[in-house]
Amino acid sequence: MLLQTAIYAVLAMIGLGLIFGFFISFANRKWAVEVDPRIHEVDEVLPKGQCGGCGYPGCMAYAEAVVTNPDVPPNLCAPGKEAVAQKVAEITGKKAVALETKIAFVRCSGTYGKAIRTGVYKGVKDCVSANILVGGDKGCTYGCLGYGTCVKVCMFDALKMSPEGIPVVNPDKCTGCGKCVTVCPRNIITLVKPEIMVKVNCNSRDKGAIVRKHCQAGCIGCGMCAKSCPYGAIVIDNFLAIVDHNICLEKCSDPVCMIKCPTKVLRPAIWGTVPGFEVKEEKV
Amino acid sequence: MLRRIKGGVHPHDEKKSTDDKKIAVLPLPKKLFVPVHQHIGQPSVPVVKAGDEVKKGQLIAESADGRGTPVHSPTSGKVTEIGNYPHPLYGKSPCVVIESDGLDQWQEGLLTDRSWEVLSAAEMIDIIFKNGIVGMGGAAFPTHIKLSPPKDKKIDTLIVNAAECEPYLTSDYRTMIEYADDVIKGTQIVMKILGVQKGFIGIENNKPKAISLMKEKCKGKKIEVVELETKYPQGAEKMMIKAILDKEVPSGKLPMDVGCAVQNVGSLKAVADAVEKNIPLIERVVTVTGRTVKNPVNVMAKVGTPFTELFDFCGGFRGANGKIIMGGPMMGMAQVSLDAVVVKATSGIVSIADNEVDLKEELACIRCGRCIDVCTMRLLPNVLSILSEKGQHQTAQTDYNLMDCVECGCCYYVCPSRRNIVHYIRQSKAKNAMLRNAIKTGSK
Amino acid sequence: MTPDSSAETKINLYAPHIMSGDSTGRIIWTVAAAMLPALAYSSFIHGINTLLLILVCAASAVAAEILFQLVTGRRITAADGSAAVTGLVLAMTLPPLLPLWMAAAGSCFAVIAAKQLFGGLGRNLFNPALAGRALLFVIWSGSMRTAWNVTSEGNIPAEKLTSYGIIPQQALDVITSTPPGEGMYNAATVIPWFTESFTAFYDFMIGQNILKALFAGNSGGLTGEAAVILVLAGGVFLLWRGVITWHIPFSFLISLSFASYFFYSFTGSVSPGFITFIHIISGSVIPAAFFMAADPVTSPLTGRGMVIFGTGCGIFTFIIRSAGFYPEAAFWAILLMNAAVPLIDRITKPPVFGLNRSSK
Repeated sequence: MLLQTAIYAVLAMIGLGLIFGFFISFANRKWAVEVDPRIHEVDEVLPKGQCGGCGYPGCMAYAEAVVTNPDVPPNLCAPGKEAVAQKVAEITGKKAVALETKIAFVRCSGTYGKAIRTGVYKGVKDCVSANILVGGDKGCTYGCLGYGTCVKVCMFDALKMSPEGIPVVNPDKCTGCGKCVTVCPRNIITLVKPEIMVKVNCNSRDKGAIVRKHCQAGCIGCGMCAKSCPYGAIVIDNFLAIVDHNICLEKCSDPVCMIKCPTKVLRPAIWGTVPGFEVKEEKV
Repeated sequence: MLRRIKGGVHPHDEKKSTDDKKIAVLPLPKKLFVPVHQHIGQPSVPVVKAGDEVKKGQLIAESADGRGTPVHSPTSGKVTEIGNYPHPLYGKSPCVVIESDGLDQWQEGLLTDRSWEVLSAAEMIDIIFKNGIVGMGGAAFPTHIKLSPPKDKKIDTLIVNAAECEPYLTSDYRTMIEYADDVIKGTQIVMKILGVQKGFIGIENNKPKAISLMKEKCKGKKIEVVELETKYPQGAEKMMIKAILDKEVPSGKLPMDVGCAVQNVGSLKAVADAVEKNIPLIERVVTVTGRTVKNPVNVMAKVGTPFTELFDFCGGFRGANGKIIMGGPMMGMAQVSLDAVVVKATSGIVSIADNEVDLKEELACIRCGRCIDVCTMRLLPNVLSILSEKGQHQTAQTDYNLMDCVECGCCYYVCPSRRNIVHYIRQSKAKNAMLRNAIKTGSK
Repeated sequence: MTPDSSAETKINLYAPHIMSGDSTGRIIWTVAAAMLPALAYSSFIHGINTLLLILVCAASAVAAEILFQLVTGRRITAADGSAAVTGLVLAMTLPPLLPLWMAAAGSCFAVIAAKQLFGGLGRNLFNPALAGRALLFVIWSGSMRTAWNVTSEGNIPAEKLTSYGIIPQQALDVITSTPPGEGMYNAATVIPWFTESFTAFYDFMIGQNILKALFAGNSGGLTGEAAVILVLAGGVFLLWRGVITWHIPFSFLISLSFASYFFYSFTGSVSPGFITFIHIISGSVIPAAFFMAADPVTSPLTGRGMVIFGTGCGIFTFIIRSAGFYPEAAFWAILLMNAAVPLIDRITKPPVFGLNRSSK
């Protein structure tokens, strides 16, 4: 009796499976959508971070664009680096162009101890939100607000908020997708070549006196670095030092500017301050 | 007949401390920091430079694109600097710093005496533009743009917004009491400019004196005074139109789409001054009040006066300050610095005591639905806040009408979990705008 | 004179700057306060076990929440009272003589599985207390059906209630077969003035003993329905404090009345009105309508949605009672409607200002 029931059940399931299977395969044939098979091939190759660093909403969208649109270069996938760019170029028959590796760099050193806060911010813990309200609660209107919007969007776990309120980049994990760059409401994060040493850890275009009022660590635009650089790689624009990294990389082997800088805002970065991010500072 | 709106809240109006205080005149400040950005849109461009002598009422900044409004010197003196100083709405903004010479001399050619009845509509719009008049209710929308609607939009009604639904503020009320004739004249001028036959003045019924005075003044003038229920946000443009005309401004449209123009009382007084006497908008009535202000006042303050001067005039503070707000406590902007200055849109400065500041952490939404009951735009504020929390800003816009939110703050006011609903909504709006820009630049 | 702005002002960069002053904590504790009279009277009627049952439910709910939040590393939110209230509501839905460890287990399940796993306060789909009760009922069905108290005057109404499908058959056996235990309080003897006045009233009104029993707590019911009048008072208190709105309780009761009245009219009952009345005041419908269905978290957001929700609860209650096997149909009906809340919310979105309506 019991066995019979079991057999009926199994038979019924098999029957149902067959019927539905036929129906699905029929539907698949009948209403099939023509897709360029290369789109799927490209999609297979892409790392599927869905980071959007290429400028498209997701990997599939980029795959579609790179296959259908001849103007879309095959090397837009920053996380994929060289290897993926090459494969995409092969599949799409486009010319492989060398891909520059870049990593994110946070141009602010206004940590809790150094930069003053003008008020208590009780609101959504998000930099974009904080920035809407008369420029947030930080005295410096150019500095990092420290609510970690960039940390939240990072797909690769490469950004971490330090206890001092400034996000720290892990250069090993950062793929240079640039997602953090686009979400930062104050445009503090930029992409730089990882081998660059002299970086301006500040984004303030205020006058020196105002910078000093708000932050001990900011660039006051004194021009010491510009004067000390023998190659003219540094200019002061709107009270902020701007470094031409190409000149630095090509010519300079002994960056005196970093020693001359009175606020020590010219330095590699503030890596090494977060537990788990003990990255050695590059030797000068 | 009392007109009502659905939704809204009843905060304690706190107007007692200043509502029967005459508008005082502020002593001339030594230095004025006149921001060149005093309206919605592109900042104006200074036309004076450091070292120039200016007279009261002289043009000091001009609109860059013709859509903005010019700015005039509030007093006579010398321009010492053009630099970035605190602005109550935009953080830091370029200001023309004028050191007063104490004479307060008018520029020649002003203080005329002409009758509005002989001027044409186009002439008057030009006068209003040249005198830099903006909406003085808080939004600072240039008035001349509001008064020149596109040809295909027929405007048939003018509504004077005298609701003043924000707690604490009494500047519009005092303007109505003390400059009643100017307000009526301004209303008639605007009615002539727009060619409308019907005007309404909407006043909340917690201001009976203003209602009876306005009723008396409006006799035989095609202007009807409408009593409104005291309720926040009665003074929001769309609610005003709904309460008085029972018309709903369609989503994403302007009052002109239902044939309406709404003007603030203060703006109308400024219009009357500009048209009849050619006086530019250089000063306005400001209510300085709050529980920690020693002597709350209504004061005629020049544009560019730092807040510190105003508080000194009030005798300073008693007790610890929580925050200083420009505008009313429901929609005003908390100030990070008392060096911020009076701008054309400053209807009041309110101090909130230390113990009134609520710094409690927000909790999860318990779906009590109170925000939905009070939402005058009939949105689902709690759903919007949750979507924003989860980062689904696009869904909020497409499915839950994010952009219809007027940010009146009623939802936050009633929320038992103290969720920052308005802030969440603003965040969604900001992030959607960022995304739109990114797509726009990406497609180029 | 002038304060240094940045140093002295505690700026909370946020608009609006004033609040109405009500808080979630206060709402939750108001609910707890509204339940207290009914629960206290219930302990008084049913004895020490019931008092312990209530305490154990509340305490284990709070403990479970703290434990869960400790283990998962979340912020501990037991102070807002929501776990305690969940425990109290659960106690209302349990038979008064249920073993305490069962109650504790149900309480833990309610808080952890039905509430915290959904994301904590405000995010749960099902009413946690009812989910806990459902679990208890499925596992320890026997105890849930028989751990009822014996009351001296309970016999007549209990039989009637069973015949209407309101209380389980097994419970009826317990109530009718065993004599009242020692130490059990009897409302009729303890507060005679109370029952006497009610007897007079109802003899005058309807002339049925059953009503007195139901109102004064002698029908042999769950912990929460010892005295319907006190539960009703609690519900009215909540309405007055604005914690709940009228929509759900009223639509619940009205739809149940209609369903029952029409059913008994068409099936040819002698007094459909009277049976309907019993349907309303017994079988935990009143506590369910005011304390469980009206729980804001698991009910729809808008007034229209709430009316749909309440009506659904009422109709399902009647269907389960008249056709189903499970007792305490009101609880099952609420759980059923809880699942429909997202759908109801979707179809009852209020018309946005300036949309859906042509402007003149």
